[in-house]
Amino acid sequence: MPDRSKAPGRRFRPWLGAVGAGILTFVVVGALPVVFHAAPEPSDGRAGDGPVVLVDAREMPSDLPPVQRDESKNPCADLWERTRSEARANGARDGDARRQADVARAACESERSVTPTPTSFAPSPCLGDQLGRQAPAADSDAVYVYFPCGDAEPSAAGLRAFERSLEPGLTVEQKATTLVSWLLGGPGETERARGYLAPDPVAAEHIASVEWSGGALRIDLAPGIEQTAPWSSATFSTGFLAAMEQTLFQLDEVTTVELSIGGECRRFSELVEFGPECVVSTRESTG
Amino acid sequence: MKRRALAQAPGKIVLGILGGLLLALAVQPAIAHQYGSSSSYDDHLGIYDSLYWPGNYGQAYNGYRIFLSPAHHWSGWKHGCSGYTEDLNMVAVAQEAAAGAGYDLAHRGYYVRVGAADPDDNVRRSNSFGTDRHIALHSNGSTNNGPACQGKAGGTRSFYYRSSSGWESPNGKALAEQLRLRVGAGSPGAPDLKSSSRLYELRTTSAPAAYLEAEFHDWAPGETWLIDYETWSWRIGWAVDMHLGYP
Repeated sequence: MPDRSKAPGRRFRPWLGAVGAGILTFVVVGALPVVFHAAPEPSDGRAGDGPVVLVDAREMPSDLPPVQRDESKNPCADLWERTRSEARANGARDGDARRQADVARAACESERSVTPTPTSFAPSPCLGDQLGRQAPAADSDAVYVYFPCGDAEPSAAGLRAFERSLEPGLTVEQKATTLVSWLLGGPGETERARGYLAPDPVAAEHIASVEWSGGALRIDLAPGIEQTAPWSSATFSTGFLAAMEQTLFQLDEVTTVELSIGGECRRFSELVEFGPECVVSTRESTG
Repeated sequence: MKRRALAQAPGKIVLGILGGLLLALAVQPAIAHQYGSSSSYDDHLGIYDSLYWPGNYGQAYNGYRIFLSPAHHWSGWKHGCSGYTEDLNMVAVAQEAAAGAGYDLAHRGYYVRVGAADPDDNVRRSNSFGTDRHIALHSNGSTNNGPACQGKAGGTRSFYYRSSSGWESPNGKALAEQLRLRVGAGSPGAPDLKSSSRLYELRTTSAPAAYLEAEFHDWAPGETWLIDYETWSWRIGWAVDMHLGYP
């Protein structure tokens, strides 16, 4: 009886089976996603079966008007596609065709007044004021409270110092509390009229606590401030924070400032769109 | 000999299957990512982004990926005149700008992802997507958050990253400038270019980023224009095309 297991091409090789099984597994497991994602996503633009937009289960206002597409509002829209098609038919590269289409649509909108003439608010009178950092006051009880001139420049360069007087003999915490209450209270009527940041004043009761230790100043605000804070946009949050820093770093004892809401610094930094990490301002970083 | 080989076979086949499985799992995410799978982005429970592949609109892919991040404030919805809600309107703006009525980013050949999560998740998803340009879409307010329509400012504000030491993102600035020019020219107020070192979506994205405050929602002409987004969202595509040189 010949030993068939030794016959060429007939001997059973376990490692060949292993390689074959491996290749088969790789193909099945690895290639299936490619098959299913051969089109990058379903044609309706959704990437999955979950809800698309609403992150939070916050109640939606019931009085929102329904938004409906009104093609008559886009009298120049067809022109875009027509211009692009014609340019491509005439041999233009698609990018060049799109450029022509954009220019044509913009000109059409301008002519038909779909594009409004930009309304310029009268320049804030405060732009004519001397803005920027003020040298320290000679009087030891005199301090400055900084307010931004509108949203002209959301940095120290767009601030103006307004002199105030502190009561003598205050502790660092008391001085800081007073300064923050002035900041939240906003500029006076005269300054508002000149264009300095003028959201509705926030009452000093929103200051929950002020602690100072080893140079670090921690200001905790009450949760209710999230609904009334004058930082409802990127423009004004950056300006207000610049004002806060310039004002509080006048106190020589303060080296860092951290703001929180309800004891959570993250809650404050999220309110002003700075991110989920705590915002700690340092004297060095603010100059 | 044959018996011995047969006895070894199951173990080696299992080893082979395991090897193939490991190799497939190692390679699969790269393949899936290339083809736009959303499976690795489900960390935000039940929330999926929208993806728009230009091929589905009859357009050739131009090689650029754009991530649109409409306002989803950590601290809750923000409101303006007449019941306006920024978080809802800017989602509609993003969808229209991504794949609206034919003159949007997808129809221009861009592969677009519209983030559906909070800013930190959107940044993570943007960075994983291989985004070439990231645009945060917001509307502005000059008064306290609320339904009052007493805004004291108007116009588009377009932000780019500028560090506290003065370094500016060149591509971020160029993109923001195009948004100011193109979107700003369509809005009722006078536009402006701004910088920030702190806005989360400008400082943490891998791709050059711009942060668009399209108009003021607490100023009546601005709010009216914002909700009429079908007439102006195409300008976001125009700005991107201008910035990238009509690829």
